[in-house]
Amino acid sequence: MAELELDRVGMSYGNTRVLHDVSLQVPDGRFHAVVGPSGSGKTSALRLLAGFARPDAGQVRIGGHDVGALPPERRDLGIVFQNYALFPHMDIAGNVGFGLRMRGAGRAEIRRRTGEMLELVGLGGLGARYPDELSGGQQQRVALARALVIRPKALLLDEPLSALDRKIRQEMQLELRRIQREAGVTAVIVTHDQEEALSLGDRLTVLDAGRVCQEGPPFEVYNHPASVFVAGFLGNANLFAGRVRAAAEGRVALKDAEAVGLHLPPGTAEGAAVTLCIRPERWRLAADAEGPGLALAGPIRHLHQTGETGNGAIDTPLGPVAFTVLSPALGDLATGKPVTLHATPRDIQVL
Amino acid sequence: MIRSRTGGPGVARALRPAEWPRLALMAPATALLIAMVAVPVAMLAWFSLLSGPGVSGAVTGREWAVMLDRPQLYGGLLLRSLALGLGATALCILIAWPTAWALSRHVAPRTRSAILALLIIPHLTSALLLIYAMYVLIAPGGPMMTALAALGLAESRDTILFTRWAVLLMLTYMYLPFMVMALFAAIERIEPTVLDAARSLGASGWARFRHIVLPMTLPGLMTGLVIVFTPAAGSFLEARILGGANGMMFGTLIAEQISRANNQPRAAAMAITLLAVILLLLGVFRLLAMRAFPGAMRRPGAHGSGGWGG
Repeated sequence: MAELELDRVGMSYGNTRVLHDVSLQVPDGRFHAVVGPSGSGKTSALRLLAGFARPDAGQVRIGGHDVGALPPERRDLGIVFQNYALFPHMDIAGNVGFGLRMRGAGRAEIRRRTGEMLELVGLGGLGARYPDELSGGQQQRVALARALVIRPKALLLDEPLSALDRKIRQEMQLELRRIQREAGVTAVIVTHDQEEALSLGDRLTVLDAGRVCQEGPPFEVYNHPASVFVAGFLGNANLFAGRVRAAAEGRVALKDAEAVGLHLPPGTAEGAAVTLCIRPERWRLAADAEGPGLALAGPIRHLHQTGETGNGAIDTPLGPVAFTVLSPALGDLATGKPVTLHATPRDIQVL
Repeated sequence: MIRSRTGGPGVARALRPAEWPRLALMAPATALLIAMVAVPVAMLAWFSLLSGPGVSGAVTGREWAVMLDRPQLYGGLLLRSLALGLGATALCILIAWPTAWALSRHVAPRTRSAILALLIIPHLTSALLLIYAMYVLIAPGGPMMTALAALGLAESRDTILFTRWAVLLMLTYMYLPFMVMALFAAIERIEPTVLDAARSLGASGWARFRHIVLPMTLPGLMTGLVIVFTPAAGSFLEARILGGANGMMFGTLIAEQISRANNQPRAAAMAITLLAVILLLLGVFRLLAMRAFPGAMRRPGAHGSGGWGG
């Protein structure tokens, strides 16, 4: 186990710069999620850590040592690939034991540790099967076991769950977390799935266009996005452009409405252009507009219930506004009925 | 899915309607195989039992006896044929593996098709033309000898023409494209991330070849072996034109039994011997491959669910 570090790395493919001055620090035993849209450079960052690519600038460190000169086969990292990359010609035990074999471990030790690892990932007794005889979720576990059995310095996961269907993916998220904790291994997961990033990481780095946009504990980043991009990428967000009318009172004028009592970033001047970010689940259905914050009224544009929650949108002069409430709160609401949505200053993020 | 192909022993089973399409689709190939393989082989076996010359002699098995009586001649020629066939196959593998690898991993797709086409086009012409092209190439004073002489490596009057080396060279050239194709297809199926995974688990370049590339291309290699070794070991034209007295092969002798001695029964006995030995060797190679890499030679989908979803 060791800490992982990218220190102000830059990287190019040909003439295209894919990473600019990216830093990442993952303390020993922590789970770090790197999230971003495709083309954001997240996979490049992982390839740098793994040693499949070299940085043009900056340093890659594992356990405090510069590993720039070490090829992937000597970095002692466990990698789980998006397509699992299992060895189709080896049975499950052969797959999991491969890294130990490459390290010259004895037959008995390989068998013992492979067996233990298969138990840990919940595949005990399947050692004699071949990868094409397993389900996607099981193959995923094999890939994980194969990466962990060598007791790697860290675990790198490249979109490991994206090929699974939704229900298994959620199960595997929990499993991944459990296994990572039990193994006590430092882990970095790269994903485009914000839900995965939020639920898996101890910390989160949002990448866009090869740059770090924001870094921090998942829900801090979610609740306090530093930019419109982060707000929109992590979860859903209603974004309203506005102009500060009175900084002291937290008064912001929107196109056809006004928010009061907002917590403006320190030093915001009067007349400054700001963006208000309100998550759909922050709205409350209100009888009338009351108290500070922002209230918007309009007829319901569409509404659909997913069991526990109801998701919908209302038409307002500011455009459609999305909201999410628990099902019972919907009462007898229906499409076309007018309703008022209210968000308190605590629910409104000013960017 | 497990379904017996025929009814149980002694049971005349009515065909279910669902089996008709399958039988109908297989009928042309089956008919062709019966007409072009089963019947000729049966005829060959029958002929081999007759006394030559001609095919109107009595059933005596004399030609087998004659052949078995002269192990030095027949056995020696058979061994040389097998050695030349194996040698050519080995050279083909040695040349084709890096070629196929480079084509698959280091060449842009458009250039790749062009190179594959260039590799094959000469082989679309008559084999006789290729052999005479080689004849001209390696003849004394020909382009290759002149070039070697210019480099000071050989006299321009020297040549390997009319030696078994000329035959080996020709057989290698003749069957190289097939081996390249077989290995190329196999290498294409190796996902790059599989090699990355092996690398991250500590496998050096050689270990990746030995544990991943070799076993994963083994089915392709086996296919290549069948389509290169079989015709190469059984060839006669190459040896007859380029081999001279030293380069004679078993196939050459079979051809002469028919074209000169008019002894079809002897030719048939020899052909059956050659066929049997080649099949035996291929079986041995297959067995060795399965021993070395049981998982690699597994029939895909033999145990898996296959088909829809999963």
